[in-house]
Amino acid sequence: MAKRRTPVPEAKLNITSLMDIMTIILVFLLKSYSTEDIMIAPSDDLRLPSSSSQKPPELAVNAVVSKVNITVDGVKVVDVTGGLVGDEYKRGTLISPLFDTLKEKADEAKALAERNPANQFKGRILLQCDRDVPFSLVREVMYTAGQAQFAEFKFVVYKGGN
Amino acid sequence: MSYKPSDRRRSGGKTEDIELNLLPFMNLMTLLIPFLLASAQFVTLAVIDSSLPAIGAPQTTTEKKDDKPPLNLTVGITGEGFTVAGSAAVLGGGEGGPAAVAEKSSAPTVGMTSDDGYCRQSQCGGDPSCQHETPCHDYKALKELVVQVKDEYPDEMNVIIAPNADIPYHILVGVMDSTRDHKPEGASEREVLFPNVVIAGGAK
Repeated sequence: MAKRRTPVPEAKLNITSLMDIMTIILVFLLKSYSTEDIMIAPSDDLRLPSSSSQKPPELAVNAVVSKVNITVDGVKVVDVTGGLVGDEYKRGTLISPLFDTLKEKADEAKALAERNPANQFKGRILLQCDRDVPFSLVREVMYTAGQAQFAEFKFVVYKGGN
Repeated sequence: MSYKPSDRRRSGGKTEDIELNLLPFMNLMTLLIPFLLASAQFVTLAVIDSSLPAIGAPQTTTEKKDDKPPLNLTVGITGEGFTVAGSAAVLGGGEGGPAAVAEKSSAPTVGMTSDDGYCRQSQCGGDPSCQHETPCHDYKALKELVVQVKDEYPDEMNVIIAPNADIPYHILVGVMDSTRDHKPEGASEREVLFPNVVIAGGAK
């Protein structure tokens, strides 16, 4: 008579310790969870300065001035070389391609505001500038935005410092 | 003859290392964690407000509560330091007052500092890989000066910042930080200095 084989005990993974890790990670991630609309893509060409400002950012047209180009809402508008926009893109202080793009945005926003009075066009623009961009370029961008009726600038910075 | 008491009941009811079935919870976790990781925010952003004076709009000549002329505090930023000025009439008035600083002189009001430690701290924070320059702009001294001006003109909220063309953007932000508010030693609340920033581009 064949001897009855004792059944192999079912192997069990002890996942309690993994659960501990997960719970801690979950709490940490929930803490840093954000539903913020503004997303920045940090790169070597765009290092925002840090500031002691406490104001939270709000949604607006997003102009990014990095070391290599200027983008508006993620679409590249014009190249920047050595902190300058090429003269062929400029009319005096005005940066023409940027002006055209911003004007379009402003017109869109105004058309929207006409349909929806609760959503007024306030001329808000978020400016993300690299920390080493010279002021002359920032000024040109501000001037251009001003001409396109964006007069309320919000300089985006890293929160920190004292 | 007595039987041995049955131990079926006892052994049957014995709680034999009951294990929680954690697998569904694990499933939940493994789903939640990638989702939260994707939307986690590791750097917090803030904004600094500044506005252009409305072009073409008539200046509101109201709200002249007293006959104190406006201060027109102006902070110029050059490669050599900061030049703090106010409208001459105002600053000339307070004899020897802290606000009566050299407006006419070409030398900057607040020079550069060559304190290496301070420059490192103000430019790099705690980042050890970051390169810093010495001498650098002295935000601390500027803030002290601005606090004094604020003491004399508690109702004034505006500051005009006029940087030179070649000044890097982060110095502009540093100046806006210095003039916006400050936190006195030991105080928990920030004191507002000059939060309304107008950036002067200069004529071109």
